[in-house]
Amino acid sequence: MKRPGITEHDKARLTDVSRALCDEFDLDRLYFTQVLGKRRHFLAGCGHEGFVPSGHMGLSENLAVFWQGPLPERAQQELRTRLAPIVADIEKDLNRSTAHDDEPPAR
Amino acid sequence: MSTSSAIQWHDTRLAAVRKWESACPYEDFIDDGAIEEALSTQANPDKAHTLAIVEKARDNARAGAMLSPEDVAVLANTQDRDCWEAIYDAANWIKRAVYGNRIVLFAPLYISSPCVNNCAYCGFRTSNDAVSKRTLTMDELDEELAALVGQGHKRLVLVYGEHPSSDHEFICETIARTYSVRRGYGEIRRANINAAPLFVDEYEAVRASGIGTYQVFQETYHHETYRKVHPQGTLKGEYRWRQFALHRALEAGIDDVALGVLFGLYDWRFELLAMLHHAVALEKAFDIGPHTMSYPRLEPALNTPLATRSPHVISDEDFKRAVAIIRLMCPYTGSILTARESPAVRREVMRDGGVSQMDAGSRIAVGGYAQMEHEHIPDRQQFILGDARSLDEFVYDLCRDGYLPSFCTAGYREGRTGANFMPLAKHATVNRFCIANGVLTFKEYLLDYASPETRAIGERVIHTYLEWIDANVPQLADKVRQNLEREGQNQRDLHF
Repeated sequence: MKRPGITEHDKARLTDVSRALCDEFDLDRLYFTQVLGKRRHFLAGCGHEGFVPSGHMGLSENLAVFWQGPLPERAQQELRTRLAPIVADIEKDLNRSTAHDDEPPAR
Repeated sequence: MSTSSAIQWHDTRLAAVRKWESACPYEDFIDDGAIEEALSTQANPDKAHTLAIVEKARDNARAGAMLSPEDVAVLANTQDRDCWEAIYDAANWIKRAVYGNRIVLFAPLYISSPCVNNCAYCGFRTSNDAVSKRTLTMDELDEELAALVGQGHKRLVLVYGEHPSSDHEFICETIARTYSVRRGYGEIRRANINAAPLFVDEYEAVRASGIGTYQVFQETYHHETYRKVHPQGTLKGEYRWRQFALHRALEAGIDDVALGVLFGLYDWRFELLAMLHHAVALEKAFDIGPHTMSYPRLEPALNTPLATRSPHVISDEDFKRAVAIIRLMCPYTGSILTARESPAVRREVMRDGGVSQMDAGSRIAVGGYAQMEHEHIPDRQQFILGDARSLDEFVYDLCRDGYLPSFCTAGYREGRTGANFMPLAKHATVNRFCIANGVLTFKEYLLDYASPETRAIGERVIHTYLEWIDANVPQLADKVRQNLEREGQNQRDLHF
């Protein structure tokens, strides 16, 4: 099954939201990845690498988020809730592009 | 020879490749004349100028810059012994500054050898009936993986011939199979790919299977030589198709790509400058440079005269020089020295060339790991291997020389890929993760696979690198020690 990456538009949205969440939750770093088997494929994010252990959680079948800085359980739930609409949008986009897999490639 | 269905597949694909080339959106970044001129202009470099370039390369390691083609031409033409000592010293220093004194270990896994191409230097060429070609069945792949995982390997490069029996769908199937295998604590955590160039939609499918790095080697960038050794009318005969293979991979979202040459086909100095131009072209188009560079040397292969008669066969000394210059010209890139080389050459080039990744315990016959007792199976190999040490012997030798053997695959599982990885390598900070994760994965190896001798020397190595972490990444030091304790309690796959 082909599973293309997200659009530039969605990447820009993720960059914007990562900046907002870093400010709001007082995080040093936050970034989003696409789940590709064992690979967590970088999509977008912000902040400075602190060379500390990152926290992470899955947001959907295809997306995961990593962060650096304290983020208690309750804040993680809040983060998940805040991200739900954009995650749903991106999942929709990913499924839409997957649905077109059977089309012959443009050669 | 190819079957009629393979010939038909080849002809159809070749037509599609030529159609792509006729609309190729990229400009050829190799100007043979300009490279030759740069080399001849800098034929007798001044010593002070050469040493200044060496210092610039050290600065570049932290600034994220590369040397210019003119700089590389100066280094490649240097005859002064002092300058070479300075170059080797800088290569070693840069590698340690960027990645730390660790060597990442992997194994090649040859999955298929049938190939529709007819490259003059390759034992697997379609017209070479002296080498029998085969493609692993899934059951045979399981046997190979069991043998590799049983040695302690966590990272592989899967190697495929260009053939309808190993198209992109087969590649995806074998990647999924590779990741699914578990034997006790053993598993493959990162599968890199060495395969023929693909179309963008094919790369997208391969990307979705969660690969590590996609390697395509140009073999030689010199147009005329390329034409001579890759017959026209074959897929590999299409220079531009191959030249922009990594561009298409990046278009498809594969953001860890690797380039390479086969030293011995043409002047090594030319190939160095060409690799630099390739790295610059990737950065210009995608802001992402090569994750690694490889530089295998032409090796003898059954019924393959060119492999020993090439006028450009590169000496051991020049080979070491070339590897060191690669480290200086592109400080951030991983540098891969393979088991084609003898143990003695590997030991010297690893140090003086600033090498960062090596294969070990390798077998290169298709199905070769299931018959580990056979170091060489010439009638099933692409070439003859130079280093047949076991993984455990190799690890022991690394420890004896003070290196940290690393089975780390943490980067691409923590989202440090592509644009998220490049700044860490370009500013020489990734070593903080490399050493911490190297220690954790090496400890796993010592617990699960090592001989008593390797375990004893390995524990001393871990102690040394814990002190390095204390001094250089104090914020991780306690967590590393906690994770080492957890590994002692049978937890695995802990990483930062």
